[in-house]
Amino acid sequence: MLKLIENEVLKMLCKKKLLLISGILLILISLFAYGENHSYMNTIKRFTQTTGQTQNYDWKSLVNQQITDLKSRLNSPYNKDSSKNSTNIKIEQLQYYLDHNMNPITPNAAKFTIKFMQQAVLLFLPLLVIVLAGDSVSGEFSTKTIKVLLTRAVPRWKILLSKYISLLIMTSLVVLEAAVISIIVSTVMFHTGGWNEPVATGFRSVAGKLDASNVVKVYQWQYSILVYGLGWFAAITVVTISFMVSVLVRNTATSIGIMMATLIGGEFLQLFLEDWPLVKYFFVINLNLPKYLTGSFQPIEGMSLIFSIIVLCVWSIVALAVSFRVFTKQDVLV
Amino acid sequence: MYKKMIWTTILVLAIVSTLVFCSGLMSSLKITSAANTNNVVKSNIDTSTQSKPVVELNNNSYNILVMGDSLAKGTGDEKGQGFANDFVSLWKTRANKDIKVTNIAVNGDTSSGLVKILQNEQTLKYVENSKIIFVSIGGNEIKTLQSADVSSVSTDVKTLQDNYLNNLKSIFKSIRSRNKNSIIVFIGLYNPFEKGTISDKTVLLNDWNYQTEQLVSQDSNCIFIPTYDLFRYNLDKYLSADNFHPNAAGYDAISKRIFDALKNYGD
Repeated sequence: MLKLIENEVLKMLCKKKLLLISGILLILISLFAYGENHSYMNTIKRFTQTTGQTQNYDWKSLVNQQITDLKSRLNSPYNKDSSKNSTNIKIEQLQYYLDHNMNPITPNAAKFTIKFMQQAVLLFLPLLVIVLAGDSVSGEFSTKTIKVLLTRAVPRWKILLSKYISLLIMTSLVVLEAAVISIIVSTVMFHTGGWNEPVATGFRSVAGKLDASNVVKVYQWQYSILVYGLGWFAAITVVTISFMVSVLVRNTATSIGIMMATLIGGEFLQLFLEDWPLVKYFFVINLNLPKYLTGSFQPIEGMSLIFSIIVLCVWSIVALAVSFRVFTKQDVLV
Repeated sequence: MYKKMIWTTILVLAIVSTLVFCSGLMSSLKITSAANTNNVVKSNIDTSTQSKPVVELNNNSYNILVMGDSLAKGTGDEKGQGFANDFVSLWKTRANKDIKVTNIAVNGDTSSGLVKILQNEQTLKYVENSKIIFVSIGGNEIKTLQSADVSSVSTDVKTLQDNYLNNLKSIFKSIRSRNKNSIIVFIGLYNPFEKGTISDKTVLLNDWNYQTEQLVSQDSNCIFIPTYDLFRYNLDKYLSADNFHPNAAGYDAISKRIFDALKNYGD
């Protein structure tokens, strides 16, 4: 079994996919870090201009200013109720940071690493792992190597299982790589680590109000582990589903295309159908797990971390069941 | 051999990262689903708000009290000063003691809210020791009329205005019950919606201001500071980004006007 997995992993390495993914990660993370730094500089510049303060600005007054801005936006009559709620929550969170003397503004390596995963989990990371998983089985069909694989004296389910496990291994590596690259890039860019700074988590938004009663303070490094753990789980789900698609479809391009359409379509779905409660059972809607840690506003009622994880688990289990059933039963005519 | 090494490193890395990520997942589950386990924070807050002692202002300083709505609070001022602090910087030369500003204004407050605040013992203590008391109220009440149409307004406005004037009366009574000598400065209303207002509504605002001034001038030591004329043609310069509250320049203009009015006021 281990031999089989090793074989699969080496196959994937030979295709140089990991190298490609590393390249994409490196380029994009560098760009993000540059942009982050740039926008931070801009914020400071604008702030010092309006207040007439010079160089040594105080992040507290900047946060105060942001709170005032948000509040005045709240007073505007052209505001939807849902956006009002999320603005309210933002204000309360900023106020919490202010009261507890935590600096949410100045970027550092820890904050960037966390922020990167929070954004990447929606689309970027899933797309990367689809590239990994898309041709896992269908690729064997396209290149007609499936015949060679199946003529070995191993049961079909073992072959499929080894493929799946090797995919899991690669997914973990990709998430780890994303973490390592963003740590390195952001340390170079921002010079400060900030891994031991406290960060507040456990906010909960109840009926448009922020419930800060469960807030725990953790260190940034702990928080980043939390966020990357959630991102990893989301990636695993995407890999599993895309694995199923790759079993069902006999063409790599089709399999990757289907998954991409599903992911991007899912994002649209959230925009258009937020009033429709059934939408929350769709897996793409539930991928954004790290947002539950920050307690940001939930567009769809009744979603929590546990709910999302259960939904993702169910999707994974069904996907696995389908792939194993189909792969062991289907006729292979190549 | 080389391949074997890669395989082992990959396997080890994958297992380690899986374990780390799993632990992250578990603890985030624990954090988000923690069912009020750390109520400690909450209860702390509760006790601190309950047993707040009544603070008495120091009589050795020149005390200024500001009460009312967001205008009194200084909302919209980029410098966070508000007219009261602007006024203090002008008034500094006049007072021979340190000036201390106490701002108990509440954003969005109406006259009935201010009546309630003035029933509070703490507020009355502040009133007792203050030399100058700034009051700004009514803007949030008349704001509701802005969106209403003219025909329904005339009946509504009567009840609204009567209610407001009654509240104002009791506000003055509360203040004077504790402090007979201090000067009360009442800030009049301006029209932030000047451009989109039809003349009927302008009449309404003018009447509101007039009635207020009439009532206020029954008190011998009170002054009404109009702001309508100040803002009439200066809206672009004096309003903050929300197009409702004054900005720093607006507050500055108000404070200058107050200072001019009080220039030769002696106590």
